[in-house]
Amino acid sequence: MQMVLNKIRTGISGLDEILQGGFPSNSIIAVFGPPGSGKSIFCMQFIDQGLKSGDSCIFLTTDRSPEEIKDIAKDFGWDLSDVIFIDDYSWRSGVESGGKYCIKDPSDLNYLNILIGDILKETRSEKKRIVIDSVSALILYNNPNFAMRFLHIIGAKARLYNSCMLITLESGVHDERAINLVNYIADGAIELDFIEGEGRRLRVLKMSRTKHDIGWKKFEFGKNGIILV
Amino acid sequence: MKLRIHDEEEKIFRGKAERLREKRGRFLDMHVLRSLIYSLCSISPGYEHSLYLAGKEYSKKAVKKLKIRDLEQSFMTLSIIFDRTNLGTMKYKIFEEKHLAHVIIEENAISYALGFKRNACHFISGYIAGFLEGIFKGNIIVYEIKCASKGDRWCEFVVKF
Repeated sequence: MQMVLNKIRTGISGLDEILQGGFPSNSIIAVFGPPGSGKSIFCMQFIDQGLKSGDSCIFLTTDRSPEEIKDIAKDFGWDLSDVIFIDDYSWRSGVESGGKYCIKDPSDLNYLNILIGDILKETRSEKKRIVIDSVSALILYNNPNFAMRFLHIIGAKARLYNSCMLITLESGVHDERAINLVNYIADGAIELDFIEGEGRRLRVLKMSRTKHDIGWKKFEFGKNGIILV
Repeated sequence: MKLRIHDEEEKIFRGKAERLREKRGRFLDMHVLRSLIYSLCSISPGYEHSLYLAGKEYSKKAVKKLKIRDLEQSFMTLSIIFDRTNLGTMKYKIFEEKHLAHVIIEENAISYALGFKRNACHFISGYIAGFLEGIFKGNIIVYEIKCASKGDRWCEFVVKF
C-alpha cells in the first residue's frame, strides 16, 4: 500500500499496472521514440492525469505551440487550459504567443533555467508535474554539453520541489553519447516504437524502485488517449 | 577559390552520383524535394530534428575538402552553393563582434509557398550549421525565424557562432 502512495499515476491504461501504480515520485522519466511514435500524446495524457489529481503542471514545448497542443488534447477530451505552458516554439514564427512564458532565444538556457525555477517556486500544489517536449530541440539548438547540464540542474530542481519530470527524446537523431547522458540523468526510461503493419508498441527500459516487465506491449490511440492492448 | 559544387557530393558518394547524372541528366524535379520535405514535416514535428541533423552531418563531411579559412569566405561559399544548386538566393550579414550572422534566402526552392503552417527549412538550417562547424570546429547554432513555407517573404536564419 505504501508503494502505491509514492507513485505518480500516468493515466495510461495498462501502463500504471505494469509500473505498479505509476512513475516513482520525485523522478525524471525519459521517453524515447522515433518521430510519430506518440511521445507528445503520452506527455499530454500524463499532464491531463496530473490536472485530474490536482497537481501543478508545467509544459515546456519546443515542437508545437501551446494552442496546437491544447487543440490536440481536446481531440482526446483533455482540457489543458490550466497547464502552465513555457512556449519555446513560437519564436520560430517571429510572432510571440499570448502566453505568459514565452522564450525568445532558444539558446539561452540560463534564462530557461531561472524561469522554470521561478515557476516551481510560485506553484503551491504539493505535487508537480513537468514535461519537456522535446529535449531534442534543446540539444540541436544548443551546445549538447550545455543542454545536458541544463537537464541535470532542472532535474535536481524538479526533485527539490516534489515533481515528476517527463522528457522526450527523438530516437535516431542523436549520437549514442547524448542518449547515454539522458539515460544517466533519468530514473526511468520508456521507449515507444511504430512498426508498419503491426502498429505501435512501448516498453519500460528502466524504472527505479519498481519491478517491471521489460517486454514490448502493443498500444493504440483510443477515444481517451493511449491504451495498452 | 575554385569551387566545384558537386565535389562535395562526389566525395560522399564516391563517383557514383556522377555516373547517375550522366545517365539521368543533371536535374531533379523540384517537386520531389518539396514533396519529401512536406511529407516528413506533416508526419511529425520530430522529423524537423532529423532533417536538421541530416543537413548538419552532410555538410560537415562535404566541407572538409574546401579550403576555407574565414567567416566571410564561408558565407560567400554558402551563397554560391545555394545559387548554383538552385536552392535560392542567399544574402547574409555578419556581426562578428556579436558572434552572430543573419542569413536570408529568397525564393527558397524547398519552402517557397509550400503552404505549411510551420517552418520547413530544417535541412538548410542544419546544412549551414554543419558547414560552419566543419570549418571552425566550434558549436554553431542556426535557427530559422522566418520561413516562406508559411507565407513570410523570405526565409531568415540567425547563426550563432
